Amino acid sequence: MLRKPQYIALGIVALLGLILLSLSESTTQRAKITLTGLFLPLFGFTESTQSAARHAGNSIVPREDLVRELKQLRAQKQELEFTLTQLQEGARENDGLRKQAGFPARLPWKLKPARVIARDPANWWRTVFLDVGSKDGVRVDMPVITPEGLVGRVSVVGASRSQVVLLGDQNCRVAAKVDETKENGIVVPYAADPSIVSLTYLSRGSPVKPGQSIVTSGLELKPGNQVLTSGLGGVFPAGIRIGEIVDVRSASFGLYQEARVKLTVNLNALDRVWVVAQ
Amino acid sequence: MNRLETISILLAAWLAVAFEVSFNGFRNWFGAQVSLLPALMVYVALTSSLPSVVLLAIVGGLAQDSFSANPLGVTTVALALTGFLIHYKRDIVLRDQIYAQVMMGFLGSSLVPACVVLALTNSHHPVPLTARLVGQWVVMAAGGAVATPLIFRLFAQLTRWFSYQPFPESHYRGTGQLKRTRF
Repeated sequence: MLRKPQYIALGIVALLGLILLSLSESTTQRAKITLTGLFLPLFGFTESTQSAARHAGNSIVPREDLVRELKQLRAQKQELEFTLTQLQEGARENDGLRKQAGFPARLPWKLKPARVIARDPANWWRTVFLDVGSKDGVRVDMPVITPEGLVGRVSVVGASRSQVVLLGDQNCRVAAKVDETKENGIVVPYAADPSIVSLTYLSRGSPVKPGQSIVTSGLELKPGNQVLTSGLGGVFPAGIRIGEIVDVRSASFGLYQEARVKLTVNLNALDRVWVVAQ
Repeated sequence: MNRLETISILLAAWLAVAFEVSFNGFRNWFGAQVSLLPALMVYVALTSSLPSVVLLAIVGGLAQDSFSANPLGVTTVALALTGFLIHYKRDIVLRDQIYAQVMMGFLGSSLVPACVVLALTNSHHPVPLTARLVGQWVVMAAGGAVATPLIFRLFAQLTRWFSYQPFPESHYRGTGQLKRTRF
């Protein structure tokens, strides 16, 4: 039988659990962000350790390697400058045409660099913490990207930290399209593999060869097709790369189709990301 | 519960959560993060008092949930239930034996995530029960089983460093005195 102190301890924990679990979503999120502040020394220590390691690594790189890399970067810079000039010309032309057609002007992205400082300890969620918050201009639902593609969206914002829900989490669904066919669908998690997501609710087509490719609205979805954000959900701007199709299958007794999509970003190796302030 | 014990439990809980949120190796190698809090709870439940169990459950659970998308408090309840269960039956556990430590670590590390997933199943954001989740659960249980004896060794070492150690008994015994006699 339990003794009196044990009953009291059980009662305390049960009461605390009930109070915490019945708190509102906004209160819980504020409390969570405040509690993560207890780990600020850890984040500082990690940053300083990494910076010291980088510094030590830099000091032992041979001069020949640095000179060779500098030459390569200079050549790459010149190439990129030519591309930029062409793109700027194209953008000017696009702006002029949009103005003539009466379309609103396309606003450039404002990118905010950020560092991943912590990961969700629970295995069934996919979230990370960034070292930027509301004082850096970060807001809820802002997209987070890397040069390789889409990472996720900001879900909770504190003063100097924010939580990002990653692609493949249940709470991150993205309106997407297949670049080659312009077919629209929704990106949802794929439970068996964290590096893959499902592009679902693609319109129904008729199979050409079972297990290979499927005709959809007159266009074929093939493995290797690029999947981009469609911009339809209102959260993610159009044209951000998500991944490429691995295979396509019919779902819900042929009502619609699903494609497995291999993500372009390795979400397990995230370090530096960019928050898109549209 | 003395002051040193309280500080060491709080520090260990902080370090366990810090390890979980910043070290990504287990996730890359085995596909799941290993949690050290259940293993720590096994140690505290077997060797310490009930207030220590409550303290670890509250501090560790809140710290872990603050970095997670779990509802705040769900890990606290899971840790407390596991801690109470082990503490209640600790008289029948041979806690100095490595085998017992491994088995209790396995039990604790499988019970805590199971309780959390069970609670989430009844919440607004249920976790899909998949084969991958079962695999992660096995990794967490195995990781906890390995970590528990290490935590016992670590705390035994800390106790030796920071606690008063009585002098060992002298080998001198009254009956063994040399007696002066004539040649």
